[in-house]
Amino acid sequence: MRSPSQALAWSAFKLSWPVLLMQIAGVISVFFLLDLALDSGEDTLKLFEVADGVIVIGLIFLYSVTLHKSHSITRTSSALGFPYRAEFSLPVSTFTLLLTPLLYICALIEVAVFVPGIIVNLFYFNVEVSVLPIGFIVFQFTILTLMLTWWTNNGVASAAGWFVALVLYLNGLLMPDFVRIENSWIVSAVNPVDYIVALLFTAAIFGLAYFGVSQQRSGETLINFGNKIFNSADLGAIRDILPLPSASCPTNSPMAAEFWKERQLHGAYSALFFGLAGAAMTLAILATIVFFAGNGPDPKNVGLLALPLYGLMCVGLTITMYGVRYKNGTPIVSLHDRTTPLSTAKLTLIRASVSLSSALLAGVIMYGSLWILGPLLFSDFQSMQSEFLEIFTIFTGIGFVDLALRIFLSLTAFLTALLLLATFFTGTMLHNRPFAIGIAFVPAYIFLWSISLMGFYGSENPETYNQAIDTVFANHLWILVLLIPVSLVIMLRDLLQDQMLSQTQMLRLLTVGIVLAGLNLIWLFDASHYDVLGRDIWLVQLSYLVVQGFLPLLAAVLALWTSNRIRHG
Amino acid sequence: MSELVVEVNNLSRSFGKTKALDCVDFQANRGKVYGLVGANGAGKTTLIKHLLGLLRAKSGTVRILGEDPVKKPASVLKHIGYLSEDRDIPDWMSIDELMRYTNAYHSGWDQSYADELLNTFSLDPAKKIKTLSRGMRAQVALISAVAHRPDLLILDEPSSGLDAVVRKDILNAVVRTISEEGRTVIFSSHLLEEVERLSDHVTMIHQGRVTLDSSLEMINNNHHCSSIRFAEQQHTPPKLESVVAISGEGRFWSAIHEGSTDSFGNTLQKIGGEIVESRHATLEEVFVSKVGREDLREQTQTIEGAK
Repeated sequence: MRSPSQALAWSAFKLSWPVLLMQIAGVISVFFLLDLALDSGEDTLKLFEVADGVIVIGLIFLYSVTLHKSHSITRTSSALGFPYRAEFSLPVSTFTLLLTPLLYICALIEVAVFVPGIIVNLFYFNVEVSVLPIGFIVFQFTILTLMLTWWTNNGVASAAGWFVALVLYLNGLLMPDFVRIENSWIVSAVNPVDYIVALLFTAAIFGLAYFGVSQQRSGETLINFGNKIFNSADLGAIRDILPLPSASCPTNSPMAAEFWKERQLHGAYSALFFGLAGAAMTLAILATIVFFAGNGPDPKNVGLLALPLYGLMCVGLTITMYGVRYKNGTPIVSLHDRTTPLSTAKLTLIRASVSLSSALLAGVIMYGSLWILGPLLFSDFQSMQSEFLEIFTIFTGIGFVDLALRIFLSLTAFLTALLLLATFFTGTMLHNRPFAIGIAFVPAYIFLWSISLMGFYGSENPETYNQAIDTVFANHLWILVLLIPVSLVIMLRDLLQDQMLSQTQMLRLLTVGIVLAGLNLIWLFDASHYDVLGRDIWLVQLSYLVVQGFLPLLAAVLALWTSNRIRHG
Repeated sequence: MSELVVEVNNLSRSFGKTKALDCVDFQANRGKVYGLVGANGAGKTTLIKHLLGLLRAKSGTVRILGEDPVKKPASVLKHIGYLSEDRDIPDWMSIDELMRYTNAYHSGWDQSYADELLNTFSLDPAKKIKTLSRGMRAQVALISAVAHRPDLLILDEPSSGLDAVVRKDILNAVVRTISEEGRTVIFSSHLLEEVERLSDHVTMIHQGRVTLDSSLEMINNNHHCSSIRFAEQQHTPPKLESVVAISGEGRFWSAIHEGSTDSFGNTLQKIGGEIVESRHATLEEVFVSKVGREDLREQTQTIEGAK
């Protein structure tokens, strides 16, 4: 290393390259999978209408993982927010200390835009992803978020910073207005000068971040008020922040004690905090948009904003389900947790049930608060409500049994998704390199298939090409159909070998799984859903049944298997 | 109940290309204190993790009170008190909450003993663990490990990073556990004086292998440190079968050797040497003679390789 900047960038790279690889692979996979799923060819342009969105969603994932990781590396009880806080004592200027990680993460995120964008642009000759505008949007989004996160560790100052940035954004001072070129998916800025204006305001915010980090480096703080708010560095912090009564730990049984512990960490108070925070964020963003953006997004549509925010709250509530956290860049699980004298199955059951219940409770609190406070703050809140309620039309006009079945299946699917997501995040935290390489394998495989198909049939003959893709798609569906039962068998065998589950427990688990699959079967063969996915072919229905019916069982078994691996290495 | 509390047979474990444990056999009987000694990275913590079921035995077997700690974690861990090197206890709890929480898991929890230890260490039960100093954390962790009167107490570097006062407090509590209750204790430590003071039995691990496994009494009786005088100058260290380490120059040398002083004296006589003075070797001398020399050789090789 020739310079401190290089050393800082190197350490950042060592920690984040698997996430970058996963992001690139993930985005490319989504493109190809969508292409195959939609029987591409004639509809390619339609597919690429979602392309930009897919890139951005992937980038949000990359960004959140990177930020989460960089935060977690150096969390201390006295200071939170700046990812390289432990390096405050390094013999480098504050300018270098701040700018190096900022530029590094921005460069990382740009690579994640350009590499998949260029691959897609080269591969699909008639469609172009707008890599440059997307690159700029993502750059602004990243650098502003990082600076606003790092500039202070004071909750109130931080909230004020975010508010100012939102106001600047809504007034077009941080992002140009983009317009789509006719008959294409390419977007460009209406006025190129806007780029310069945006960069000037970003530079001004950099000045603020520099001032804030300098202060933190010398142990000073802007104001004392609000220092503890939003500082959730320590587990159980919410219980400490809010003046809430807490029950004392029961001593009558291990299960009750463990349940108490989980409730303190991820229970009702966390749900209350996340639910209220989600509602407050939704209302604040809505209010700002309604107030400043006269000709901006239609407030009616932004009512749906609460959904992704609730998704984020759910991730926040469930991501620590397995107790994995970072310390000095290494994922660790508390030895105290691992040596708790309770069976792994019971521990998993308690932890998962508390986290998932909290996620549901947070939703009730968040939407309940919005429903109550919304009409008081917005005159046209009713239109937002009705837009939101549109989602639930799938539950209207049906009988009680069918309604109950739909609600039950939707709830099961939601909880399954949360459990799988928490397990996935835990997996990436513990084994980020193998995960990254595994995920990178998927687009490489699909890419080779696509190239081969194009070579054999050419893009000039869409009908033959479509038939070929159909065949490949149908054949590969078998992988999915087989993957779930096969992985279930492997994991259940491991659990039996380790005596983590007794045969009776395993039979009970399998019975629940089969009942769920049966309910899905009933739903599938209901006359109105028989043509699910628009394809009246048994393979697709079987795939649906296996995926939808057995995923809850897979999620439960995977959770047990993951807990077992975490506990016993 | 069986006398054998811990039984490890032919245990091996690798992490990548590094062999952390290599065919390790280890037994611990009821009512004895076992000291695990070894250089950093020797495999002590890996062995302890296997005893706790935190690592699965890839080859070989581990049994605690006759049960596999991976297959029966709940029933095995109920009998174990564990103090980890980094005093890993939930920061967010108060001391009292931790005591109540630990109590729930152990039917043998002795609240009066816990209170007595809290009092001895002058700990306020209402205090949050995250506000405690390193020494106080260690004391709290120790109380939660011993107050349920475990059949097996495992201490991983109990004195690491502690000042002399706290170290003494901790050792006194351990001594009490041993002397009053006859529990089995396994502890790893770098402080060999501590091991010497507390242990009945010493197991020395080096590069994943058990290099010495014997009662402390046997080690003391079987290892001597002798000053040797030769009639003539010795230009190279004299080669003697029972010597595990030798240093010096010319006519005067100092050797750590195994076996009795008499038989060593007889061997020495044959090559023109005699014992000037002899005493029992300390555990530290035995440790350095068995481990230190190889480490030094390895370090030299590494440096030469780097050159």
